[in-house]
Amino acid sequence: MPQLLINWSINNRPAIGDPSAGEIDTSHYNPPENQIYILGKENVDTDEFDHHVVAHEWGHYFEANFSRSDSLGNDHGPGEKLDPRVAFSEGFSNAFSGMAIEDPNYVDTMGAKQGTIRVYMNLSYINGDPASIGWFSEDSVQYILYALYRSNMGFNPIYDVLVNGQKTARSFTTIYSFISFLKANNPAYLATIDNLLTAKNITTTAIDEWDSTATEANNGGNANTLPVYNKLIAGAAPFQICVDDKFGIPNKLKNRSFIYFEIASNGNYTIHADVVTVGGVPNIRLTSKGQDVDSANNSTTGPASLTETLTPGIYVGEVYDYRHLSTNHTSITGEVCFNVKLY
Amino acid sequence: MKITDKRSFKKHWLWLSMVCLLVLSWQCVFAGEPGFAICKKMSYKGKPSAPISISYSVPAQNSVGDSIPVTITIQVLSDFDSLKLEAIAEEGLRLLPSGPYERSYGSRPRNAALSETVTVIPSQEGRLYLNVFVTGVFNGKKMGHTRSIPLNVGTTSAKTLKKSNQVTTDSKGQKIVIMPAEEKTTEKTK
Repeated sequence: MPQLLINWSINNRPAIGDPSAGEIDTSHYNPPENQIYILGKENVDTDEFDHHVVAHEWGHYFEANFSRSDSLGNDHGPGEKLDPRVAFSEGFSNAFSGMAIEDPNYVDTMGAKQGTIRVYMNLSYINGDPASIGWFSEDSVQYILYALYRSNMGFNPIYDVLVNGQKTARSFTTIYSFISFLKANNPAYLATIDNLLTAKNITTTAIDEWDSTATEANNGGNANTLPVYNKLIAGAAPFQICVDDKFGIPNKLKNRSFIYFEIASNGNYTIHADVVTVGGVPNIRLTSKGQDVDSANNSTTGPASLTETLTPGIYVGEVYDYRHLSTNHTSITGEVCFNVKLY
Repeated sequence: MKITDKRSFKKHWLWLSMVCLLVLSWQCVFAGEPGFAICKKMSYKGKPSAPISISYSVPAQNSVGDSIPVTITIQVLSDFDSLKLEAIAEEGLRLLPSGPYERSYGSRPRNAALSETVTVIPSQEGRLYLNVFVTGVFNGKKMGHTRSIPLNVGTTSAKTLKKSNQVTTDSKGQKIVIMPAEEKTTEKTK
């Protein structure tokens, strides 16, 4: 395993500032550094005895070094409607904490004598707020993965998908890619898998990691969220996609709209986004199997274009509004629509 | 990075500067009244939290004996049944009036923004902290969030490491802090 440095100190507190002075904000995994930071400030927030928190962050280390995560990171929690990449990464790490410790009761404490519950989650709890379950919920992902682990299937099939299919997935890493590979590898467990998906209001009939036949019906209370991926066809008429900040920013459901396309021959290809909603600031990012290809980054309103010389294959990307990158969390734009085309 | 619209070099450079900022784990910007700083964090992968964002604004520099206003803003991303904010000053800082500051709120819909201003008086120089605890019930589920708000007081270094600690470098060049070999008997409740 690659070296892992876990930075813990009794001075580590939930302050934003100088990490070398203990101002680490929260317990977290830092992908560029490949390091974990753990809170230790007594009577404020300590995590060295909150074992699930430590295991959760180790789960992120595992993802980054042995699997793949396309998560945007940032703040998240139970009941939130998240970007599905964030939901999968956090749901996996929550579930993994329960698997590693063999305890489904995730507990995180804070405050005087560490006597206040900050977060409590029963990873086996099938119920939940019906309005917040689905493919965009870390609660739903953690329930499904932990239940699979506790079933006759066990950990090995989960591990196999994470270090193989999920690692090289053509799509973004979401519950759809995970389930797609899990079903392909484990036909004997289709009924088990489908029962868990149904319990969390996630489609059981997606035919691939894109849900390309648009079988998902749970839009999370936001009509803009479906289909999960928009397929672009070179030369086809532009179509409208919309993003919004209804559930917050910068990593919430439908802050970013997913696109994908397949090309058969070498050549120059352009993804173009025109502004439909006055003031919109379209940004485009293109990736291939988890690696950035290129991006068009506008910071003022106007059309955005991204022209690339591409080789045959499948590419996946996202279109979003620059203003939704803010970490100020407030709803600032409402719905923003763009006309998108590939040529 | 491909810049395809008609932006000036200046704007291009501004974008590059912003990317450089994003590479850092931390981001602080000055906003609002002159001398007031608002800090926001960047996109690493943290532990689960209540659907709350706690931000604050404080004067950038302060002196011993000043009455310092600290404005705390809570953005709540989901409906909540109840919410409680508590602020407790650490050593070297005194809340005015004395004692913990507490404020409770009834149910509100998603995207509520709650703002409180508390006053603290520092009795010593250094980087001092006001701890904010927010607990609430969100769709029937109890959750919390906490934030330490740092205040720079006087002209001494902002570093807070205790004198008994030593900063050094290990064999692989990583900066480490050596802690005093002492144990506390404070009971953990978990």
